[in-house]
Amino acid sequence: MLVPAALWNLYGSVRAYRWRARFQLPNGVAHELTQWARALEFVAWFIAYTMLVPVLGYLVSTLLLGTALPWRLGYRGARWMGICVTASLAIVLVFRTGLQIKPPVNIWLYDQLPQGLSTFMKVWF
Amino acid sequence: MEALWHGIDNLASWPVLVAILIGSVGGVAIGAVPGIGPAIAIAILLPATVFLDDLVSLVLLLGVYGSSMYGVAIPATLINTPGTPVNALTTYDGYAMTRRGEAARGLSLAYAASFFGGCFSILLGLSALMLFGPYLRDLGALFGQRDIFMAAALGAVLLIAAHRRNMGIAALLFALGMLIAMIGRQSLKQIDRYTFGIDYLYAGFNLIVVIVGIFAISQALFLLTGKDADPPEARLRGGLLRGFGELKKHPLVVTISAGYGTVMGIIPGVGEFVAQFFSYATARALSKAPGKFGRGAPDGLIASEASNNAVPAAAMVPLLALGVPGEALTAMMMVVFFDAGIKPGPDIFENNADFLFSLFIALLIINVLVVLTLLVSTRWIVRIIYVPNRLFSIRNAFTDCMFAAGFGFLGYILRRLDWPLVPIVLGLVLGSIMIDKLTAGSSQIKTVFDLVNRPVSGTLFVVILCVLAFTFVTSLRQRRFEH
Repeated sequence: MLVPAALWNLYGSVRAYRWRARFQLPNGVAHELTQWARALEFVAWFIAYTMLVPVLGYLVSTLLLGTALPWRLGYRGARWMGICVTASLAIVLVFRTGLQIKPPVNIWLYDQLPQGLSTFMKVWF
Repeated sequence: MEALWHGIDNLASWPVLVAILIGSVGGVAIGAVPGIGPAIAIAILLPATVFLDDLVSLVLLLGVYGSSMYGVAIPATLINTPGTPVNALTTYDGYAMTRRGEAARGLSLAYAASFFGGCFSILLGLSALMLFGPYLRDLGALFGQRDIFMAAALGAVLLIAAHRRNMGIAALLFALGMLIAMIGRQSLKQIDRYTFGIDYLYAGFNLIVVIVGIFAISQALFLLTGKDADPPEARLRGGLLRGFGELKKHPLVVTISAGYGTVMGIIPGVGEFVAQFFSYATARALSKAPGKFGRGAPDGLIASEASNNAVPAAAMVPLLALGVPGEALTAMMMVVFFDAGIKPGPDIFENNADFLFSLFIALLIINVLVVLTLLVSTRWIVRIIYVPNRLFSIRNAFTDCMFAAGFGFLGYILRRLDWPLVPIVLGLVLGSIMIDKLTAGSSQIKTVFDLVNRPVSGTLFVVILCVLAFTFVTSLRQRRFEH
């Protein structure tokens, strides 16, 4: 089964290569791999965010991602940062405070806070 | 008639009306966020319903269930991300319309088709319950494990046939989806499949992890790596009412699709996933311009939306008449029925007829309310589709996020290659049904012939052969025409 599938794949690849060459589109393997590598950078951002949530909590992590990622993409300046902070806060208020979506049980930062504040943060943020 | 008036009377109380309103508006908003979906929303709401009145709880859940089907069309049409697999095909023509600058037309058509599908199914379901309810038990008995397996197989064949120019790739990706569905411990025979000793894999992949990864994260990656000069066109120009006028031009497609949605919704365990492919394939076969399907054909969008919105009311029929929930959402509602001391089944017509009327009339009100809400507030609701998804909510597990990221990267590569994403997810859904039903019915299958020697499975097999023959002949004709 694998041999016919591989041959069919090879045939498709040759056709795609000719089609792209005909329309003078970037055809090199390096070009495609560069695009994939660029996407991997944002996968790393996503993973870093999910790793941060158990440490800093939902509120701080979302604020960090919501400002740092737009900054990385070139949306800088006070106006953009204001929009990003507001949007991140809204997301936290809707999903964590409103819909009570459960984050990890233990959050390192919240454990460092005084008892009352720690419980409040764990319940609402 | 007395029961009907009692049913209307039950609904005429403030708590019930408020629950209908919250369920309707909230369901649209929940449906509009990719990856949240009605299943999570109902799962979150279920514990809260313990503290509410029975009818209030049920209409709240029904509101979320029914209205989220409208909401999921918004991200599917505007950002190519279906909220659930149920409206995956909406992305094909809805998003193509958005890219053409016809986002408002796409959305209004989706609303109109959904409204027609919803009302059609409710009225038909209500009539069916009144006329044939007690006899539905006999129909349910006709559908055994092998019949549901064959119905799912028919869904797979239709899915692949619908990808006319990419059938080989669609089949390959469907097989990949089935392979993913096999991962985990097989509950019936306690066999570990492709788990490699990794604890996480014993439970198999959560469908939401795969959907969010393949559709939402991959789309985010695509947008993040793209250029600002080429953002997705999501500006709404023009009124949202014109879809209702345009729907009149496609009476056959919308009626057949709503009919498929109703019939498939009644069949337990298969309904909503198969209905859209039946409808889409039929609409394509009926169309004078099948080549436009997948490129913004209005009848493609109508077929997908009318069929998937016809399912919620139809799915209530087996639940109420047989006590058999068709899928996860109706299974959750069954919990509320039991809490209320109501046992779904043929006796429900004798004991709780007014309650039944209340539910179906509530569904009708929900459909009207949702359309009115959407016509007024779509321009605000579209903003929430860009909200990131919250994977921690599924199993509160970091590993879910990791795998979602992995599936997101896979989806990104598929998007780069211009390969369809839907077959993987449907391979996962239909694959699980096929594997479960085949395993459960394996004791009765000694030869391949045993799969098709029942009246229903045999008929479905003949339909599969007809679809394959039809697809082969039309492909051959198309190829000759192109050359």
